Amino acid sequence: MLTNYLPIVVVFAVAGGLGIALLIIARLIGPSRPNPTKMQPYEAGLEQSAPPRIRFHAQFYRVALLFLVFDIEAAFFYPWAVMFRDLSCKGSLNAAGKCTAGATPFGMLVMVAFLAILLLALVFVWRRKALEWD
Amino acid sequence: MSSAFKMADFSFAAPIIFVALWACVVLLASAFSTKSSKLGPLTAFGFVIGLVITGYFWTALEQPRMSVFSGMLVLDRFSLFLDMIFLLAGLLTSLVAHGYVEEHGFAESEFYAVIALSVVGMMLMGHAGDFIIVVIGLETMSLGVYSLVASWTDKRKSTEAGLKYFVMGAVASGFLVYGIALLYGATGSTRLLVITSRAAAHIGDPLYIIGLFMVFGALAFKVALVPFHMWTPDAYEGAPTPITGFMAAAVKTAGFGLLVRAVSTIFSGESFAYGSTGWINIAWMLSMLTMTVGNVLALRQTNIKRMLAYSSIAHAGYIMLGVIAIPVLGLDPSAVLLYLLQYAVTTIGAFGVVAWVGRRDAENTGLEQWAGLGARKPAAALAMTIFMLSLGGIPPTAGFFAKLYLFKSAMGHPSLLILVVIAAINSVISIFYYLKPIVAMYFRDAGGEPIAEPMRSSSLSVAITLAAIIVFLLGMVPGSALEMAIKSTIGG
Amino acid sequence: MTMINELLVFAAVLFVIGVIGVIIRRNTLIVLMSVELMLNAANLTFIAFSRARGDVLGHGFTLMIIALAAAEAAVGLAIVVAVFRSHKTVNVDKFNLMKR
Repeated sequence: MLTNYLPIVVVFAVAGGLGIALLIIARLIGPSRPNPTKMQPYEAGLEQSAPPRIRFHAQFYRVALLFLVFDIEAAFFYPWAVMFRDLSCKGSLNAAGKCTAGATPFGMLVMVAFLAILLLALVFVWRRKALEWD
Repeated sequence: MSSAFKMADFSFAAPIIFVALWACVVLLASAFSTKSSKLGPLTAFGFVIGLVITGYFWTALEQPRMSVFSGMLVLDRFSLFLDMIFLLAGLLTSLVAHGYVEEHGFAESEFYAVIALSVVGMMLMGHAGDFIIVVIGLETMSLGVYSLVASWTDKRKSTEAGLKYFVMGAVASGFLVYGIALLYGATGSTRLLVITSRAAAHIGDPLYIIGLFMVFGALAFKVALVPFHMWTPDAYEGAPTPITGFMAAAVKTAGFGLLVRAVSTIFSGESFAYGSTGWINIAWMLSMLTMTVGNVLALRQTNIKRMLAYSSIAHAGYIMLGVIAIPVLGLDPSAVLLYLLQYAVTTIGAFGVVAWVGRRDAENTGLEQWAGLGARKPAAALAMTIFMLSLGGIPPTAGFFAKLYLFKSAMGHPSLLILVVIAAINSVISIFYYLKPIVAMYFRDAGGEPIAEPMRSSSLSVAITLAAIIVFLLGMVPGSALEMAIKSTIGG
Repeated sequence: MTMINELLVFAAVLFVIGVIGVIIRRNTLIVLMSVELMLNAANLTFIAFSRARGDVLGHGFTLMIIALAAAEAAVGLAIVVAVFRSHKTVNVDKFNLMKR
C-alpha cells in the first residue's frame, strides 16, 4: 500500500526542507566577498592549467550514435526468439509445444529480411565513410 | 496459438513494401554513385510506380475492408486513397527538391531516400489497424521530416527550425505513447477495433478518457490545430522550401488520415464523442480557433513562406470541420479526402513556385521581391495565381470545388451550421492575403528594389506545371475525382 | 504482493517530471533527456499493465518504444550538434532567428 511509504516521504521532505533552509540561511547571514582566486574552479588546489571544457573529437559522437542505433536493433531478436517456434510451424502447436503439421521457413525468413535491412544500413554507413577514423 | 502471419499478407501490403524497397534502392544508389544529380528523378520514378501499384489495388480491392498481418494493417479504399495523396506529394516534392537542391547545393545525398522513407511512414499511418503501427508509422514519418527540415546545415534558420520541430514533436509522441499505455491499461488491447468494441465497458473510466485525450492531443499537434500550432510558422519558414511544401501537404494529410481513422474507431464511443466534454465539442472549438487565428495572423505576413505557413494552419481548421462532420453524418470521409487531395497538390505547387523564385544566396521569399514577376515570367506567375486562387477557394480551381463540397456536406447537420458560417467568413478574409502575391506579381513596379531572378530547372518546371494542371482540372472537371473519393469508404 | 499501483504512480510522476523538464529547462540536451523520461514513463506503464493483465502485449510495445527512443535520440542529437555548430549555443532562449 502507498501509505507504507509515508515515512519515506516524510524523510525526503525533512531532508529537502533542511537542505533548502540551510542554503537560504547561509545566503542570508553569510558574508559574501568574492575575489578572482575564489571564483576559480577547484583543480587539486593548483592554478588552473587548461580550460575546464574539453572538446571531444566529433568522431566520438558519430560512433556513439551509430552504436546506439545498431545496438538497439538487437532488442528485436528477443521477441523473435521467443516466438520462433510459433512462426516456423505450419499449423498450430499442441499442448506439449510440439508442432503437428510440419515446419515452414517463415520464421527464418522474417529474420533474414530484418538482417538484410540492417546489413543495408551498414553498407550505407560504410560507403559514406562514417566508420573511418580520419 | 497458431502462426498468425501468412506469406500472402506480404502481397497485400505490396504498395508499402514497394516504396520501402525503393527507398532502400535510392539509399544504396546515393551511397555508391559519385554524383547525386540523378537521385531526384530516380525517387520520382519510384513514386510513379508506387502510384500505379496503389491505383491497381484501389480498383482491384473486393471487400470494403481487409485485415492484413492479423489486423495490424487495414486495407480499405480510404487508406489507399490516402496512399495516393502521399505518393503524389512525394513525387512532386522530389521533383521540386531536385531543382532546389541543385541550385542551392546543400543536401547530402540521402535527402531523397529520407523523403521516400517518410512516405513509407505516412502510408503505415494510413493503414494502421493497431497502435503499434500508428507509433511506428508516425515516428518513421516524423524522424524523417525532422532531419529533412534541419538538412540545410549551413543555414542557421534551417537547423533552428529542425530543433524546434523536433523538440515539440518528441513531446507530442511522448504524450501519444503514454496515452496508448493508459488505453492499454484500461482496455487490455492496442488494436483499434478491439479498443472500440470494449468502449462501452469503460464509460467514465478515467484511464480510458485521459488516454483518449492524450492521443487526440498528439494528433492535434501533428496537424497543427491552434493551441498546438506554435511550432508551425518557425518550422515552415526555416525548412528548405520543398520540404515546407512536403510538410504542409503530406504530413498534414497523414495526421488527418490517422485522425479520421481514430474518429471511425476509438473516438466513436457515444460517451467520448458527444456531450459537453466530448471530443466533438472540443474539436468544434479547436476548428474555429484554428481557422480564425491562422487567417488573422496570415494577414500581416510579408514573407511568403511564413504567410503560407499560417495559411496551412487555417486550412487545418477547415479540414477539421470536415472531420467533425464524419461521425455526425455517417462515416463518409469523401469531403475530407477530396479537400486533402487538392490542398496537397496546391500547396506543394505554391511552395514549388516559391522555391523556383530563389537563387543561390538569395531565397527571395519577401513579397516585395516578387514585384513585376508577372511580366518577366508569365507562365510561373500564372501557375502561382492558380495556386493562390485555389487556396483562397475561388473558382474555377480545385480549392473552390473541394471547399464547396466540404461546406455543403457539413451543412447536412444543424449543429455544424454555425461553424460552416464561421468557415465561410474566414474564407473571405483569407482572400485578402492570397491576393497579395498576385498583386505583387502583376501590378507592382519594382522601383529600384532588389527583385527576384528565378533559377532554371526543368524538373521544378515539370512539378509546377503538373501541379497547376491537376489543380485546374480538379476545379473544371471534378467529377471523376469526386466519384473516386466517394468510393473511398472507411472499412471500420 | 504486486506493486502495480505504486509502479503506475511512479510512472506518472516520471512523466510529469519529464513534461516539467521540457517546459522549464533551457538547455536543449536536458530537454531531450526529459523527453526520454516521458517515453520511459510510458514504457513503465506498459510493463506494469502487462504484469497486471498477465499478457505480453505490453512487452512487445515497450521493445518498440525503446527502439524508437534510440532512433529519436540519434536524430535529436544530430540536430543538436548541427544547431551547436551554427549557433554556438544549445540554449533554447537564443533560438529566435524567426520572429514575426
